[in-house]
Amino acid sequence: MISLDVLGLGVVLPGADKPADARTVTAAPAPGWFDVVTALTGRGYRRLPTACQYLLAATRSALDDAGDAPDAVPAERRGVVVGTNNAGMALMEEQDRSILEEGADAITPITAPYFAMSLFASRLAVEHTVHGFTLTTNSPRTAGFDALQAGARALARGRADVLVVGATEDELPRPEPGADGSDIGAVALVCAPSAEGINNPSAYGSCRIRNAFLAPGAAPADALDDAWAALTADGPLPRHVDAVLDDSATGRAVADWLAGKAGTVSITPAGAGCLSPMRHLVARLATGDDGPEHVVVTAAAEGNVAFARLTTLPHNHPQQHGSWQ
Amino acid sequence: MSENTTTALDLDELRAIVADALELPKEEVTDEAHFANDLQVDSLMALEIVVHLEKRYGIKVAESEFKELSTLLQVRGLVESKLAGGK
Repeated sequence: MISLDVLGLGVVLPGADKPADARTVTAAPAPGWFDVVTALTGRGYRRLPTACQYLLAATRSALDDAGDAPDAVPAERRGVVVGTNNAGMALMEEQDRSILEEGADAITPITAPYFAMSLFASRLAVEHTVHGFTLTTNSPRTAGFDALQAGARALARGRADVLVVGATEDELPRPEPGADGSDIGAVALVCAPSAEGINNPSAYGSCRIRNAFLAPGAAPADALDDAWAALTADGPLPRHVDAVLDDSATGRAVADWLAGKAGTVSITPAGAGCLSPMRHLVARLATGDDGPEHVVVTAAAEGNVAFARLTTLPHNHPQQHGSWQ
Repeated sequence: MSENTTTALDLDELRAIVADALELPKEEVTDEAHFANDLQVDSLMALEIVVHLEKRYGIKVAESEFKELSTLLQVRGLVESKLAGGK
């Protein structure tokens, strides 16, 4: 399976100031939890949509964490893939309100293009002079994992030498379904191609993604068994699975299927958005808790399921975790 | 004798509006600072200033009109003439 090495991690999450804490974020963040002036020094950031600010700040942190290696890669060998579901929802509501109340001229020009969800990744590409490729994924809940998979495939085909993979979400406006407890914030990972059998000494570890689709009415076990077999074929079985699931039929099917698996499983309720599974993935990479082999799985009501298999390494990113160096 | 009249504008308020649109300290937006050369204003930032002016003063400023302006004092001149002309 195609694998990515993760060289740097960054998070902008309410209640978590480093990747190791990414699993335990504040569910209802206080207004002002994110200060753009502090997080993004320089001009041109204050009026960006908040989900874009989160993404830019998380990426700065991840690139700082990754050290000098990404800077040495030429612009045409850099890539960006960003997953998001709701980054622009609040902004589009605001734009609709402006149009109805004051007319289209009242929309602030800097935010106007962000009705297109691809602009979040594009802005990130401009920020870091990425000329290789820029891609956005939007599948419900699995978009972050899809971003990792698309990035891994691109690197494996030699389209770039370094990649920023991000996931960013803004709080869903009420009364949108799922607004309470919806994802908010961003994570970013700086990634490079994995070399077979070689551990990158500056990496947190490696990551592989496998997808499945549970068609309505079909028996889910076969698709999940196939994905699991592909994911675990070439290494020791993971001792622990983090499942980020909602109470949809798909979520329940995955939970039931996991009950028959060896090892321990922890199930966390999924909020609206694609960020929660990525938070768990980032935290596991940062801490290496529960052994080096780990799986994070998530699913959406629409039927898409995504697994991430993580193989963590002893690493030297002391600012990102508690004691393991 | 000209029929033109002007409405005095609070220059400091105008400076604050422009500075806010450009994400700059007010002190940097001097009367004669050149938007492009001194303040690195690009076309998007210029549009941002226009939207702020239109909201604050209830005027309409065409993009072509603003392109002709390069300093705060010139912006004041345009806004004052708009206010005086009722446009």
